[in-house]
Amino acid sequence: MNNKYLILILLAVAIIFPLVFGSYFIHVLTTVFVFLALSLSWDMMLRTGQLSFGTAGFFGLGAYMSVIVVLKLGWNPLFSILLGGVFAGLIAFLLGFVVLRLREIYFAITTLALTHVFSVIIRNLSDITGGASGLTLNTAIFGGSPVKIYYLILFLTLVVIGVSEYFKRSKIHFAINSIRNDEITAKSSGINVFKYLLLVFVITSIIQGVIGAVYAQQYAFVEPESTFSLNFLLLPIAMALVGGIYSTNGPIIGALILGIISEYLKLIMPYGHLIVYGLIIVVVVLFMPKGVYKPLKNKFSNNSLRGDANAQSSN
Amino acid sequence: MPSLQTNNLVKKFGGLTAVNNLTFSVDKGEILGIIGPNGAGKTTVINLVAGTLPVTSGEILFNDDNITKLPSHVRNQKGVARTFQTVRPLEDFTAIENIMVGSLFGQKKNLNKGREYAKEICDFLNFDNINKPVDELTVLELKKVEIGRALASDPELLFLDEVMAGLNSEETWEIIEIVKKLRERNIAICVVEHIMKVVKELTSRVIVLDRGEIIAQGPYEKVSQEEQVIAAYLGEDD
Repeated sequence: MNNKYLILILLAVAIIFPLVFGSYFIHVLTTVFVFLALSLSWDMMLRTGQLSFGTAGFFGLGAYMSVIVVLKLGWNPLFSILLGGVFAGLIAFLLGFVVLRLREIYFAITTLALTHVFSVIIRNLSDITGGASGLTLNTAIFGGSPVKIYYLILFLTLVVIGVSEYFKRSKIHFAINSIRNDEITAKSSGINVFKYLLLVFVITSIIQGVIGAVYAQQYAFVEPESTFSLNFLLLPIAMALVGGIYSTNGPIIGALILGIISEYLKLIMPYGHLIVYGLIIVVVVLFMPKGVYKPLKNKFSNNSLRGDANAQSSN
Repeated sequence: MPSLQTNNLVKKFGGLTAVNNLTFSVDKGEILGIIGPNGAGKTTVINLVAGTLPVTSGEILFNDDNITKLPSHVRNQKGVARTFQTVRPLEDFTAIENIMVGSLFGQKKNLNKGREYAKEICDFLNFDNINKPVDELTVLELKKVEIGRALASDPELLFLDEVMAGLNSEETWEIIEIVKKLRERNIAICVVEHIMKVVKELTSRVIVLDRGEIIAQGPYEKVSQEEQVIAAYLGEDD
């Protein structure tokens, strides 16, 4: 019951936010949402037991596709964002037949390599992609209006949160959790392991492609170095780890904490924020391996010791 | 018509032939015992029929349907279910959720119907602690989760791989009663077992494996007297 009110309050705050705060704060929160969505998409793949390092790669593919069709074909930027997602999803679908045969560190390394391969290919297709110097749009989406961009990214982020929650509440949850826990048990219990891995890989890649596309439209340019930057991989992972993996709330909380802290640290200590950022991650992973969300939840939902056991069994 | 029929099943692991030219069948409502010393290939037979391992050669017919090349999840959906010798619970799920996996995917039920079906299975197994996480379950309860997940897929052919191992005698009897009730459901059941009183109590027929081959078959009382069988278990005098 409390949860519903909390969600409504947070949603109201998110909607009213740009009416109250200036463009600097709007910009900060917009960036947090971008990383929040990436963090959730990374976590959704992790729920299948597959550690993907391909987040930045599909992000970059979506970004490039979107900028190219706007610049060369004069598409509507909103459609181009959709296309960015579809393109990333299509590539994931095709590659999935190969990479989803791999597991654990082999899957992780291969997806990391793919990110690099994508950026190398794009760098060399200079007729279409502008090569190493990238492409610049005449104007950012919505004429660069921070408020409109904020609402667009808020909307997309809410959709991603919705998808993540759907994953948690449907049969998909049972399938991917089983695959993560024990693939042989999953198979002998009727679960088509490959089908579910491919489904999740494609959906998360679509999300990454859409987010990459909207990010590129926001800044009106793409460039191999920064568009395929490992920031779009490492920050989302850090956020999910800090907040708590295998959940929707974990990455949300992690993104808010790390996003806001790093912005604040930037102001008081230029570049030093990266050190503090790293320290936070190390401390959380060492002392709160489940992230901050679950311990917090347990603390608030139980006032007595007995409640602890009840909460666990009724979950 | 037999529920399961294997013809000349062979499984080689490199140079080792784990299962050699194995031909056997199980009928509906029959409990077949598969016995033999350690390393005889009993679990490998289950792995082959359930699709956990691919066969080297030979064929597997289930309800006259050739399932030799089908992936294991399709075999499960068609009605072949198994338990694992060392229990393999899904550790992030509760007991009931573990069992639900069988009804959700083996039978393609939706969440509500899958949960209801899993509850019926729990009642059948006389299993109360259904909402506990699996790491808080006793050995007997873990075995019930293992059996429950297999049953939840509504199998016509069920392999029980040493489900009594690690249970005390009271618990063993409880499981024996459960398996007997299953026979009444007209399921074909194969029990791999080391405990001979269980084999004697449950099975109408046994096959004895040694080094991947059938060295004897028939009712337990008859087979257990055969010299070859005794030699395989106890070793031969030179």
